[in-house]
Amino acid sequence: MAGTTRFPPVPSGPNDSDLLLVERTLAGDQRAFELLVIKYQSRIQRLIGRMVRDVDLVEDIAQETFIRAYRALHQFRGDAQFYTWLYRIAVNTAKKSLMELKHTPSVLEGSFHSSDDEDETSQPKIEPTTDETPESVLAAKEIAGVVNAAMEALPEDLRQAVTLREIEGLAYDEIAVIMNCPIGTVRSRIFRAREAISARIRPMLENQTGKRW
Amino acid sequence: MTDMDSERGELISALLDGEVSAAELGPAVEAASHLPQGLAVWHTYHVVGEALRGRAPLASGADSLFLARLRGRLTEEPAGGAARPAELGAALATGPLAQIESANDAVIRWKLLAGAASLAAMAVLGWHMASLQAPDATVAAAPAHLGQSATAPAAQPLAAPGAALAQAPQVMLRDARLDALMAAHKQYGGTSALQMPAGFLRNATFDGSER
Amino acid sequence: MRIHALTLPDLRKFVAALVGACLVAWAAAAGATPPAALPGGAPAGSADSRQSEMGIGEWLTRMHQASRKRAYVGTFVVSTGSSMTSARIWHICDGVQQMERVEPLSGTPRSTFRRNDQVITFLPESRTAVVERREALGLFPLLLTAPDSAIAQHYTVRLSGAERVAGHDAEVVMLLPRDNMRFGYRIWNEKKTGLVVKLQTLDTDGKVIEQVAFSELQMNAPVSMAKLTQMMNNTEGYRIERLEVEKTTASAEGWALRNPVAGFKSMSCHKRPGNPQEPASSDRILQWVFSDGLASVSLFVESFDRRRHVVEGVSSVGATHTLMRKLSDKSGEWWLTLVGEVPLQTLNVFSQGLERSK
Repeated sequence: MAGTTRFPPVPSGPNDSDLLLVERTLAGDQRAFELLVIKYQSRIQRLIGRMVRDVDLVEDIAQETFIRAYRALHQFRGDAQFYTWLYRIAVNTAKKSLMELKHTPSVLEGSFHSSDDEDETSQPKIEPTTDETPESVLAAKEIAGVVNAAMEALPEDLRQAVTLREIEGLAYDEIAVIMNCPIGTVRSRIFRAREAISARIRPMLENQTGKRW
Repeated sequence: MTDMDSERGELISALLDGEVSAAELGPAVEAASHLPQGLAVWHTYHVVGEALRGRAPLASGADSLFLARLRGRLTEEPAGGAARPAELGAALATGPLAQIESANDAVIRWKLLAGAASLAAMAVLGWHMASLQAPDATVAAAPAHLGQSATAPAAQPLAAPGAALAQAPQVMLRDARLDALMAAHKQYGGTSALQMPAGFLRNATFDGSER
Repeated sequence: MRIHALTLPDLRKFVAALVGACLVAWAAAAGATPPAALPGGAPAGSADSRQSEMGIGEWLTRMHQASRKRAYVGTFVVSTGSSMTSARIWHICDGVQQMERVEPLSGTPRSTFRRNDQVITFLPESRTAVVERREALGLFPLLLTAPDSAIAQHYTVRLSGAERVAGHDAEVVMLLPRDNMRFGYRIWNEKKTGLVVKLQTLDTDGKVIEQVAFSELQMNAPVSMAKLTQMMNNTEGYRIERLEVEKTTASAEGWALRNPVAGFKSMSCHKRPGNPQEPASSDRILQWVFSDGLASVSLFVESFDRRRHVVEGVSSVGATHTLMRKLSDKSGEWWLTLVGEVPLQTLNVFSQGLERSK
């Protein structure tokens, strides 16, 4: 049921951890912010990589992006997507850095407005950017393949639960009604599904460039 | 992953979905930040989600060095700026999800489109629950002879009406357009071997008309 | 009574003979004869040979032998878990024409008359009469067009006992889906005529989510076709509204369905008024109907309108589920409304498969 080509889903919106983690960070728990960093690091680096060719510079700008976001976190209003807000900070940080360093030739002006994987109208695609090697792109496709195979192998109730959550973006209480089970069961099923799939891709992740913890 | 116990794994999973209670938030962040397994689990679950949605899961971005470097700089920053958590909390409390009413039978789930109009617009929309919920229709008290006889058949009981349904403010402002679509479905959707007489009868009782 | 095993071509001939039949009814063996033995060879498409299961062929045979000349009057009730609504029905068929009158006993007052495929609904409060032609009625389009008997492929048929409904003896038949993409049905057929007197829709857990049943039923009632015709034609004082729909095809409109749900075939496609209050305007919405022979799904497609299309969501009333969402594509933005007596996940699969073909 989980197809590989689908219309881009609505961003997960309120049904994710972002607002909770932002709130927690503002309450003084820096670790919550780090969880956000882990979640968005790849995407932010990919985004910056479209604007900047220099690999080292990409990472610097990414670091700077998160620092600025951390500083400005109290200005984030919960009525917009956190990632949208972070995205804008990344773009502005990149522009600023490039101007300071006078790296104009590598800047593709059009790419500031380019569609990335957040654009509703673009098909999700795997494309090489400055911080990806062909090997890592291939690895990414392999991971997707393994994930899909793992989904097929899941028991029906686990598969349905994780599909409704990850693909349909439904909240636990909504899933509980659809699957006619308690919310606690929904939560458990989604966890078990994730765990089963993770078990299959974990060895692949450990072989990636970039260390694991 | 080595011995991460299920309880903490489940907390991390629920945290990812934003589905932890206030009391669980702290322990969940703790579990997810717990070195080294927690972070790996947090990251891997995200990779899984991205892969399911057809995005390129750039696992190579999972970089402990990046985080370590960032962490050092973060600790030098004043904690989260001049936080105004009260405002943020207020924004969360009045968000669209706060308006979900769930009932056993008639369930409404809302999802705002990205960039959607203000919440004021939502108050105007509603779902018409067909003639079965028409404001001027009373729930028909079952006539004594309804469907039963002396030899009371062991009929399968209907799903019990959700208690919540009786109390939930089913303030559905009627959407004439949606009514018309549902009526149209019942008319043309009756392409079924069962439609006579049941289907046509359902059609005819569907009160989609609205002025 | 001998039942012959049916081959697929026979199946289609049977079905063709049923077009124009007055009643989609099931005939039990006449009188008090015990139920006939199961056919020796199961018809193609029915793989099961368990004794309690009946082949689709036998089911259709019973329908074929249903009496065609029937008249009845009754009260029936539509129930979901949350509410009930009831209506009075008059029905007559003289072997050539079929007429019906239905009046709900609650809700907005109205009276619906049908003569074959012509339908007129009188709305006294607004003095309006809505006229339409409902092609779908009285046909088995899926059984006619499908190269195989999709019903047998996706459902099993099983006799399930006998009960009394509204004072009549009825036989109970279970139509259970072979997969989770559709609902099941429990059907009560009045023993003498085969008339469906009660129908339950069952979800994938076997729970009853909707029921239509007669609470009163008088067979062989003195219903006068002439009187019904007279009432139907009496539109004096009423403003007539014609609900015009234009037949079209999905591909002509630039739509295709990738990975359709097994068994669901395209039945019809047409454009209808988008705004019921302005049926004549150019605001049109496309309706593409699918059916697996028992359940149907309508895909409604219209241009995305930022002012109206704010909320995606799902809803259900009884067996009918609705899903609304936006669809973005290189050619534009659209709004989908899917309605069907199918599980929510089936609507999801439909909605994911819809795509522009040009």
